[in-house]
Amino acid sequence: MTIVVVGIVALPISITVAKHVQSVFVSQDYITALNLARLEMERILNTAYASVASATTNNYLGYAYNVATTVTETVSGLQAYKIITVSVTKVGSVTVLVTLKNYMVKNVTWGL
Amino acid sequence: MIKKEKGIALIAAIMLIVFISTAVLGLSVFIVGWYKQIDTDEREVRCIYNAQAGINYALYNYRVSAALTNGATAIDANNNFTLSTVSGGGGGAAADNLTVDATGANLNANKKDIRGVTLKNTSLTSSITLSQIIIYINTGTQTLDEVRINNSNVWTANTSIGTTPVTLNMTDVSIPANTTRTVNYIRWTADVSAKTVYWRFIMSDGTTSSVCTVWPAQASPCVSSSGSLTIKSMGKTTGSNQYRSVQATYNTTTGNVSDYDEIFQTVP
Repeated sequence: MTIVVVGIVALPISITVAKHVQSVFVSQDYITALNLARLEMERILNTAYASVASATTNNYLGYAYNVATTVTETVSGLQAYKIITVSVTKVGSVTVLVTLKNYMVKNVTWGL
Repeated sequence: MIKKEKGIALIAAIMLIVFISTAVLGLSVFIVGWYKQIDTDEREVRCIYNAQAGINYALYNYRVSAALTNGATAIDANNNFTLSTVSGGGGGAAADNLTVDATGANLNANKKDIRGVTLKNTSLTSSITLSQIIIYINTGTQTLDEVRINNSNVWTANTSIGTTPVTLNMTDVSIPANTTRTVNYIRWTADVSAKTVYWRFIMSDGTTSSVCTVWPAQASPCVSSSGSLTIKSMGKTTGSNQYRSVQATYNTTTGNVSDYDEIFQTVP
C-alpha cells in the first residue's frame, strides 16, 4: 500500500522537479541572450550610420548563441533612417530567444 | 508491539510526501517569480530601445518636412512608442517657431517666379505674425516685383535687390499654431535662375528669423538659429503596462542632440 501511494505521488513530483531543473537552464539562456542582444545593439548605435548593415555572427563572442542583425533603410531625399533588428538564437536552434528593435536617423550627431 | 506499529510506514510516507510537495510548491512559486522577473527585465530593455527609436523617428520626420510628430506609432506587432514633440525651446520667441521650407522650390516657365516655398509655424500653441521681409541675392542686382503669400499680395513695389540685405515692409502675414502657409511666388522682373536668393523675416514681436535660402531648392527646411526641439518618447511593449521614457533636445541648426536623458513619466 505504501509503495503504491508513494509511487503515485512521486511520479508528478519527479516530473515537476525535472521541469524545474530544466527551467534553470532555459532562464539562463534568456538572460544570456538578452545581454548579448543589448551588447550588439549598443555596438551598432556606436557605429557610423553608413556602416550599419545586416550581419549574422555565429557563436557571438565565443558564446553558444548566434546574433543576427537585420537593417532596413527608409529614404526620403537626403534624409533617411534605418530600422535595426537584433535577434538572438541558441546555436543549433531556430527559436528566437530575444528580439530588440531600434531606429537610427541619418545626419544627426549625439552628444555635447 | 509489532502489531501496534503496523502502518507506520504509510504514515511516514504520507508525511514525507506532504513535506516534499510543500517544498516543490515553494520552488514552483520561486521559479514562476523568477521567470516573471526575467520577462520584466526583457521588456524594460525593449521599452528603452523603443523609446529611443521614437526619438530617431521624430528627428527623421522633422528633417524631412519640419513636421512635429506626436502620438503613438507601432514599430511592429510587439513594440511601439508614443511621442510628444515641442518646438521653440530657444525661448519661445515668434522667430523661433518659423520654418522656411524651400526643399520644393522651383521656377515658373519664364524663370522669374520662385515657387514651392512654404512657411510653417511649428508652435503648437501660439500664432506668429510676419511683418517685414529682409531679402538679398548672392551677386549683382535683380528687381523684385511682387511677393504673394497665402493667395494675397503682401508686397508689390518694384525694388532693386543686391547683395546688401534690403528690408521691405510687407502686409502682415499671420500664421496660426502648427499651420503652414504657401508662398505662391516671389516674382522678379528678370530671370532669377542663376541667382541665390536669401530672405529672413522680422516678426511682430520684434524677433528676427534666420537667413534662409529660398532659391535654389534646399536639402532640408530652414529654421531659426536658436530653434530647438524637445522630444519626449515613451517606449512600450504589447501586452504590458511597463514603459520607459526618454527626452532629447535637438538643435535644429547644428543637427545635434545636445541632451538625452531618461525621464520617469508617461508621454504625453
